[in-house]
Amino acid sequence: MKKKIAAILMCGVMAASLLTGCGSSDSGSQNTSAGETKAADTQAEGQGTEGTGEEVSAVTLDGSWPAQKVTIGVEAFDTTDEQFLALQEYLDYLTEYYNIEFMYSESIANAEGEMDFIDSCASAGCKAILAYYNVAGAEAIQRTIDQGMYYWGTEQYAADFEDNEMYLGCYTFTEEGKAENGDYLGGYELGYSLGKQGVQHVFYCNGGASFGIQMFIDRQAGFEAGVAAAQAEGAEIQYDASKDVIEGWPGTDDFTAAVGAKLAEDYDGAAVSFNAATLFQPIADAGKNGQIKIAAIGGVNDTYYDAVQNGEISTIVYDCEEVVFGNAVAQILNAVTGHVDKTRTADNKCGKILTYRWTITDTDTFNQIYDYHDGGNYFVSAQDLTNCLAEFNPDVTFEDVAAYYTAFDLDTAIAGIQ
Amino acid sequence: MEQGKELIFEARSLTKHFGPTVALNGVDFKVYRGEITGLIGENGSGKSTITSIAAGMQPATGGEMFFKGKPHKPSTMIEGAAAGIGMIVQEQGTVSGITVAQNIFLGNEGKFAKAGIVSKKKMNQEAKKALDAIGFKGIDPSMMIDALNMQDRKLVEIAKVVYNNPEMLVVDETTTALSQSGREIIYGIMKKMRDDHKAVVFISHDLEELMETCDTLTVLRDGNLITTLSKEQMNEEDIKRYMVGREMTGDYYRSDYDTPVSDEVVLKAENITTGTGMLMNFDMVLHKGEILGIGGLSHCGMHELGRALFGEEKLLCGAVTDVRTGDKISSPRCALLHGYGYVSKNRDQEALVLTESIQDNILAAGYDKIQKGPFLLPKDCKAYVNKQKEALSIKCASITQDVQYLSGGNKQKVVFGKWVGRDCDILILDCPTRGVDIGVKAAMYQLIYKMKKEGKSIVMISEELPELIGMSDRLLILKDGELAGEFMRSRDLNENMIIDVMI
Amino acid sequence: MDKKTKKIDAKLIGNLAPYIGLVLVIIIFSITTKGALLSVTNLQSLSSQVIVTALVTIGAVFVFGAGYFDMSLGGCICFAAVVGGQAAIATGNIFLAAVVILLVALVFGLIKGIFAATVNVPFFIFTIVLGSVISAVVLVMLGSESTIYLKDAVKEIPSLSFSQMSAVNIIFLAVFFIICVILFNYTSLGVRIKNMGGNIISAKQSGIDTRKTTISAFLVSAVGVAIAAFVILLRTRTVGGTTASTVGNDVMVALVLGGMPLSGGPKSKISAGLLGAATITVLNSGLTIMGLSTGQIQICRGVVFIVVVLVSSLSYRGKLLPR
Repeated sequence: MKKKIAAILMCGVMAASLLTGCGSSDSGSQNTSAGETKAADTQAEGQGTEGTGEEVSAVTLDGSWPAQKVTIGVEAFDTTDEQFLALQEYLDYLTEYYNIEFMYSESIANAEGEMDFIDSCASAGCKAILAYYNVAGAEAIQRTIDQGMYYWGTEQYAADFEDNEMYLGCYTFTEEGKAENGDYLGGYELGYSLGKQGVQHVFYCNGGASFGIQMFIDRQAGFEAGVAAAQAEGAEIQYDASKDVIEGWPGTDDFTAAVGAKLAEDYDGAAVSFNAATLFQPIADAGKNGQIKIAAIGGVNDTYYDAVQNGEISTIVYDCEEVVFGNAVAQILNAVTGHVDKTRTADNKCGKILTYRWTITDTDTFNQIYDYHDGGNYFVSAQDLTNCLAEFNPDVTFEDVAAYYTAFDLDTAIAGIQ
Repeated sequence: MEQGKELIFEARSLTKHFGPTVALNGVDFKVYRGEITGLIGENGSGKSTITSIAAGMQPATGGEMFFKGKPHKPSTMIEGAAAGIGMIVQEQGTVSGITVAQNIFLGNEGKFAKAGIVSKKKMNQEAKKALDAIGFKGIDPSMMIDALNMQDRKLVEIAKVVYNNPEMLVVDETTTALSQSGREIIYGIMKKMRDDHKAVVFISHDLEELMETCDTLTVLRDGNLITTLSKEQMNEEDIKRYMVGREMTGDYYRSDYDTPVSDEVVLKAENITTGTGMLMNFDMVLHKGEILGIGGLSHCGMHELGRALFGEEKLLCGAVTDVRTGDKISSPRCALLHGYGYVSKNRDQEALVLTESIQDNILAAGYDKIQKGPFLLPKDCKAYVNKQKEALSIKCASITQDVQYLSGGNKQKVVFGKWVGRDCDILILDCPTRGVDIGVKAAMYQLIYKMKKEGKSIVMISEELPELIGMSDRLLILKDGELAGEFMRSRDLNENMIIDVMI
Repeated sequence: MDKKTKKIDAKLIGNLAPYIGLVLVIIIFSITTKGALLSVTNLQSLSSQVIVTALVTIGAVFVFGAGYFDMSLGGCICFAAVVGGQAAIATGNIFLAAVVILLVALVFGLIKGIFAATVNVPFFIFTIVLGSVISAVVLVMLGSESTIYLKDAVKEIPSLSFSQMSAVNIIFLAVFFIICVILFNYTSLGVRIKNMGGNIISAKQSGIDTRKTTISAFLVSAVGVAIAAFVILLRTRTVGGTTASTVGNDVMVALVLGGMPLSGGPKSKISAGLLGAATITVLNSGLTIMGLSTGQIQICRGVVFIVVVLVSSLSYRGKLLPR
């Protein structure tokens, strides 16, 4: 009996110390790169002048604005995904300067989990949901709005909610009036850049295209269009949709076998519609290191660093987190500080912000971006953000904000940090 | 006390409580070298409790023990064994799923280990030596223990205990489960221990056996040591009196002879052959109000017959028929609905759910008697179970107590309670008094007799000849799956006549 | 007498452990979330979060109690929900969908029950295979759409407001719970199940019809599955291949937190279903509202689990020897 009591006491102490130690994850404790001085922010301020009309002088951002802390829920599909982690770093960085807090979900598996998370956010007092992921479609948006929170994201249903003030729009890769969506364009970049890089024979890993997942169908269509475009411009790239496609996901025997088979043939290029790191090992096993140019939709992060350095990955189609997703923060902050009109277009529809993916085709560019982020810098710094916020810049309009983010194509971004 | 007797074990004021129950009440118990000491007492008298405390199975609540002159307080059986006390129990002590040799050296594999790897060959060799030492030949130590029957498993257990060269050996009601050859092996071991100037404590319910093998006999009752008798002082009447504390009135079994048994047949088995082949083309009938005894050597097929009569055993051919309704008995549930009851000889494994309360165990067989439509009301359940508890004098803390905490005799009463509550007309009992003390046995015999008088029919399968002779109206002796002999109740019936037929 | 009170206390604590666990979890998280846990809105939300786990776990008490390890519960819910969803979309009639869901769930219950009662393959393995097969079939049924939405229905199916949904949840849960309590404690089903779970040989020898009992257990569990699938459909108006994917694990954790051994038998109780589901839901909700990271959440869950299991096991880890 004594031993049992001791064991219980120890567990109790463990539990108590854990709980007091955790508290709420005030992200400030986790961020090391925030040690940056404000001076570094003014460096990027140059960006902020474009399209805002009026330049705002450097404001002291000490985490005291907005006066009442704003909690924002962030829904994720996979909390270990690199892109999500990069976004998380950016958001945590912002919490140093603004009185905001982010509540991250666990990996959401299904619609019920999503609903539970939205409800929990409401209970925790969140003012908005940043939907990095969405399962239940319009229901999730409706629920968020019913709970009295703003919702940002999910382009698919924007049309259904465009008149609703609580729906704060989303990012989009699709230019006004054009049919091609972001996935199509991403795939296009993969095919086009490989063609321009002189690849002779390419195979394409189409992920869920054969399972009917629209995202991948679009990417494959884009890829094929990109290849065709490169060929039209004289590239020698060969691609036959009936022979040069690997279906499905890594992790199955079929996939591994298919990759192995392809590598044994004469391919010198591979395009991956998901995480390209899955090809590194098979290529090394086949002894073809450096002989295959890989193009992938991915990120500027450690996973790809080595492969980019030694030329294994020749093309990365990258969504820069602070540009593509970061505009959510601007929209949300405007909405919760009483300026929801600044998040809507002139004809009072929800504001969709056009952003560009960056197709990185050379090591230098990759390294520049990587080092920039590594040093704790962001293309849209906390200081830059103030130009988009009505409280700091009363004359700003939605069109100004949209234009600001749209201006961030790869060349402009790189120029800005030279 | 004679001179020159060397004390090997002494318990002083040993006390043990189980909740509100006092199992031992300040007992002073002495064991001397070169002696076989018997311990006898009713269930709950504390005889097994003393030895289990000495062996390290459980701790005492009070008092102290000395072994070979030194204070003795083992906290585990391994410690007890290391000190030199070996114990063989009634329940199954071997572990399934491993070999004979592994069982013998369970916990001591280190002896055969070099650099952490156990040499199976060496272990098997030693195991063979251990088995030979007790005279149990013909067993391959590398075979899985599950291939052996209950008795042989028990002998392996004995080999294990003896191998450790205990200075004091405790044999706790082991002989009841053994055949004659098994018992001989144990008697041999006990005598050898005595001749080697070691000590044996022998616990049994079998008075005859005790009187024959023991040098002294100690009687316990209700946790108190009543008396210790020397060989000359031992006689059955006195011992029974000490055990029970009152005169044993009336006969132990039944006193009537020449009571006619009805001719009406209630149950018959025709030409049955069981799936295991133990019974071949067997026929028998059971009459109304009859106590039918079934006996024989082990493996004669009597246990399978009991199972077959209850619909528990797969039949390759032939049928068991309930003559009153004309229906075939095809499953236990079918038998139950026809008013049959069955008490298995493997009480703990088959007749009871040990981790369940007394109440739920008894209800399992009897709920349809107290159901109101589809509903089973708690108060009806309690009333029903309490009725059985009173009727059978089940000693327990409450009916919600788990059955595993009861003594062997009380567990058996619970099993009886399942069927008595249903008012079964036909009861098939397989070794009903095994592991049960004299007081409870007597009560059971009286109950069986009472049921017979009420017109119920009883099939009593037993390995104890005196019981069969004493209780049966008619006795069937089986041998190798066939009928070897049939005897009617009479004063002149004696064991020899039966043994002639059995062997 | 000292040992006696200690032993009784141990058994009492063991039996009360799940209650104590729930109360403690509620208190601790009310404090750490500064009362947000028990706010009216969150209580309503908790009703939605608890109901699926609770319904399935309460039903699972019957199945696990009889000694059957069912790992296909999540799969059955998913299948029923998908078929029901497709029916709803095709006809625009939510009540028809409910009937379809019930039928599908009962069919599965029957299949599992018959298999468990007659086939000699370890049941656990069968349910794992069944779960996989179900997932595959669901994917085929869904075809090219990975998720189906009720708003695509032929006729519009009205959606329920937050409060309406909470009311529906509470009613369904209360009714099912009460029915199960009656079935388990006031009919012979509970006695038969506990007996079977404790020692199936003894149960058979006591004349219990194990086949009938097994099938009954699975049918009760199937009703719980059906209600759960229907509730998911009503609440999220979305079903897909991943619906109810986490239920399988949650059920087992809930049973243990509720104080019932997974091996079933005499210590099975219906209260375990409700208590365990409530505890795990409050735990999850509280941890999320606190805003902890995924890693921290996992650690906290693990600690609570260990503590409750340890304390619960006091009641059925008997050291007493049968003498």
